[in-house]
Amino acid sequence: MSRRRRRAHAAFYALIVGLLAIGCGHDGPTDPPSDPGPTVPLAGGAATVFNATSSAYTLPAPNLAAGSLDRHFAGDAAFEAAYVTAPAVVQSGLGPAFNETSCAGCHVRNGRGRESMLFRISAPGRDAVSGGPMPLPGFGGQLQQRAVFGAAPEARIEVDWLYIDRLYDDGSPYSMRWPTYRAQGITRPIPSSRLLSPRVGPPVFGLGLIEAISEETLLELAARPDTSGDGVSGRVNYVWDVERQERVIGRFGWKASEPDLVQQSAHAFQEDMGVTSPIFPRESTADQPEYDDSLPDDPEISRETVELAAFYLQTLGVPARRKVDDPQVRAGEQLFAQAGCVACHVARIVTGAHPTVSEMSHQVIHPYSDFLLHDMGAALDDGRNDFDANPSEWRTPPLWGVGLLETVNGHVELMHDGRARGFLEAIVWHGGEAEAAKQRVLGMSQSERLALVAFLRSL
Amino acid sequence: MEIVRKRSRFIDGARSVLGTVVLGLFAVGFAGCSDDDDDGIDPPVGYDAEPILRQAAHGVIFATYEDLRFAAADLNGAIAVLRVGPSETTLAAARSAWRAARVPWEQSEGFLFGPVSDEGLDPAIDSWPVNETDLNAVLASGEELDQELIDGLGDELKGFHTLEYLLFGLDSQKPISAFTAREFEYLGACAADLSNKTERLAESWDPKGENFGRFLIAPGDDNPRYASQASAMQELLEGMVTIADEVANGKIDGPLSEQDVTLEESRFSRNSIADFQDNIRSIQNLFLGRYDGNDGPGFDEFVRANDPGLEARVKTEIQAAIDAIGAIPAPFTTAIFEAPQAVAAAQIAVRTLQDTIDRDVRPVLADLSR
Repeated sequence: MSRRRRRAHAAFYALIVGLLAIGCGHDGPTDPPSDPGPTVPLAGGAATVFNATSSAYTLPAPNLAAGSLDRHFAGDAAFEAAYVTAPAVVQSGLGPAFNETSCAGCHVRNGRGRESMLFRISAPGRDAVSGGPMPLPGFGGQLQQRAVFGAAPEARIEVDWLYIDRLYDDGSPYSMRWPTYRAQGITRPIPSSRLLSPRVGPPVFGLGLIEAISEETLLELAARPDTSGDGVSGRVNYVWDVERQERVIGRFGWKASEPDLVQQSAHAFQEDMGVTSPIFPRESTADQPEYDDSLPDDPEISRETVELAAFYLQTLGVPARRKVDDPQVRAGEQLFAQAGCVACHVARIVTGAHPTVSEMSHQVIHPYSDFLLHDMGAALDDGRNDFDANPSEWRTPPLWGVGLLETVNGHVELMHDGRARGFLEAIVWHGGEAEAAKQRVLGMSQSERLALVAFLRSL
Repeated sequence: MEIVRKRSRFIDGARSVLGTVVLGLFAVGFAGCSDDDDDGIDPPVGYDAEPILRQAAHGVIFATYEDLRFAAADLNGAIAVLRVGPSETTLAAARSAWRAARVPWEQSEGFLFGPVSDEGLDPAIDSWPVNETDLNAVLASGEELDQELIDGLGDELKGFHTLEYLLFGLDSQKPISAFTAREFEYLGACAADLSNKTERLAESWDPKGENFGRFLIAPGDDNPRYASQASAMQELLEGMVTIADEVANGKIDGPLSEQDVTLEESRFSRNSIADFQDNIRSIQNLFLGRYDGNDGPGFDEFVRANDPGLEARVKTEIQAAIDAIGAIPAPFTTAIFEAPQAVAAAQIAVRTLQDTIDRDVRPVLADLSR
């Protein structure tokens, strides 16, 4: 089931990338990297993969050393493994309450989830020690919508869509849909003061490169002056590192609330799957006696299993751009810049030294993100603080590979809750710091909008 | 099957072909710096792969899913008969029906893309391992064992392996006397669910409807899935490589290298050898564009036009892999201890095929310019 490509034509593509670098006068490994130019489709530097099929998000970075490649494949198995209810001979420890049985269950083909959305839940205020959201008594920090047989899920969330018809400035119509959520089958009353935030599983490739971006680079991006006058001003989130027991810069998740991929993975094992590890050794429902399975089996997986899953994420390649020299795509790229999208969707970053995966270090990447928090306006306000992220602040998601989303996952449902049905709908949901840029898109002609979409499809 | 322990032999293997591909790579590499280049590949001639893609979509993939749907319906019927008149005879018939349904499913694993993935059908049909703890709790409960209950349960409580677990038992020797009324009920609900899922799968590729095959057959700028024939053909190639990899480095390597029968996917039915062979036949069907006597254009035709020697080699290696798996003394469960050389030989044969498709057939796709 759910099998994905495990072995890439690694050396083959490593050679292609190497030769591209030679052909384009790329610098040696010790020189400061230079940008090979916009017409070279190396979205992830030497970690770029050339594949426009449904396997595009599942390939190891082609520059992995042999040992790293072996570990990547072992990590793939950890990422894909379906957990079952304890006691069990293999992959034991699911639940008691959970949202999915495997990592790959939400991150289908390493891409975007569709119906497998989860909900963060919390009480008002901030945790005194971590600075993070306050767990909601009786529910914890996340609503688990499934449970092992015999236990009730915490709730089931139903979504209702409100459809809204609007017009671009040129009179062409477009439609948006606004979600509202209802909790069904709740195990206990949910206090009306609860804060709830939906989260679709994001694509998981290229994360090692994001992890390799230096803190200095993120802080420099945050310190950029607002040259456009659009009021764009990104911030880093400061989040809790559970092992170091201190606040550090956040990078991962829709609100940049996780500092690194090991903690992110361990948290997902614990909260999404109900699988405990040495990093999060208590079940997320430990304070809810109805979920006590009385088994002394925590932690249910080893630190090594978590690190393997994280290593898999750290070493996935990024799909190369396609059609980079197509005139419509180039026009769209210019419009993307002129509209001001690049203020947050930054086209080029040079990674620093990755702490453990040297293959991700010092790469020129084209993520189309600054990985910072930005105020996205009232329409995207989820009413919930997440460490330093205000309710209307979201981390700029990277756009690399987004043009292959439909090839990989069969849909183009975007934003944190999948409300946008396509690129233009995603743009029109932007507000706050992105309001001026959005207004410029609304003012575009039909052919300009098509060019903009053609550009996004080339990513 | 979910767990794999694999080792990559690719880097070693790559060195041996380095000389033969390096010149081509230079051309490919520099093309990236110049013009109109979709995939970093410079396309020369105008071969039209449409007949190959059409035969793959309709003649192989849809036809396989049609057989799967009928076989799953037969299994559902056999389990209904078993419920009404439980006996060693009706049990044997249900087990045969399970094995028969397994054939088209395993022969479909060379193309696990499209609706089977997008609609979550693969996990619902073939999740592993079985959640035995929950399954026993369900059986011990007073819940009505109907479609509604199955719908609410996780994928590890339904599909082929749950049916296998109940029909064959842990030791594949489960006598009819050991079956409970609740197990019969659950088997019935589970088989009906499998039948529904496979019907949906066949529908999703049915040329008479809004079928997924149309994306494969007609790539282009307006096609949301495939912009070029090269990427559509590559999708098929990835499917073949993926299942070869899965058989060699997952399904065989896990139990063999760990010497652990609990990692064997079809352990309860002792059907693993047939499973593995049918997986390779899935590659054979796609490569030849042939299914159940309907022989149309396949990869063989395209590869032959470029490199007749390569076409012959792939065909030989496909058959060699099927034969090597067939030469494992049954069942696989004991062969990993008693005949590890035969198991390893099968693994090597599958890896050889995988490397050939991945390394030698893949570059041929670069000749597609549409």
